[in-house]
Amino acid sequence: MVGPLEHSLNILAFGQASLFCGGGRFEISTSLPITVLQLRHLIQLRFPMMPANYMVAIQLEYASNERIIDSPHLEIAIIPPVSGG
Amino acid sequence: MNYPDLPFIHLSHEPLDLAALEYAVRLRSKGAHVFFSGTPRDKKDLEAVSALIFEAYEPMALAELQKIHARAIEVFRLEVAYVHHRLGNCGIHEHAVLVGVGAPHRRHAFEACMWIMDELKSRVPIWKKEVLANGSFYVTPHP
Repeated sequence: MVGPLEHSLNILAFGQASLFCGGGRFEISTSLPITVLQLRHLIQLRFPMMPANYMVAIQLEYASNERIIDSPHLEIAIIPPVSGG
Repeated sequence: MNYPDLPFIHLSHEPLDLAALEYAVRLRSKGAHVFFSGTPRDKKDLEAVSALIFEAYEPMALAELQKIHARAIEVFRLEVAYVHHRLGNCGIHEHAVLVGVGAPHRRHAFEACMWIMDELKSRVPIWKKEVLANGSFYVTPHP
């Protein structure tokens, strides 16, 4: 249930991270704005078994922990350690 | 696909074509050409690996590869560079990744090829699973 001041962030999850959240996509309800670090805390509360060694990408670019998330329409993704090549 | 029209950056669900890439580099560059092909290892410890399965966050993987490509062209003064990566099911005898670069002199070509692969393996959002007898499992990354 999303409260009146809360927004639903759609999060994409890839690779190993997708195994800990029931697939490649989930939602996090939160007030905005929040930082990436705050989002990471919310994800840890929701999926405590998910390893924290992932990066967060916003709008197809890696984002620092200080990056502000101020819109529910941003494309946000969890990027666990990559293994291409 | 016509060789001259080969895309510089490509994520492919079909087998990669080293001959096409080599020809395209040769058409566009004179001097030194260096190519890298990565293929699946057929063993994980003592277990047989029958294939790899590649997954990607495709729009971001393409964006990251474009950045790597542009930087390599600039820093190593390349005349041309191609980076092609396989997605989906990759048989044990198929190419998983191809890099081809052309520069006037060999040192820049060798260094660029190595640098492109190092960057690709460290930041491009692509993941692989090894297919073993008892299922498929994500590979723990290593440099």
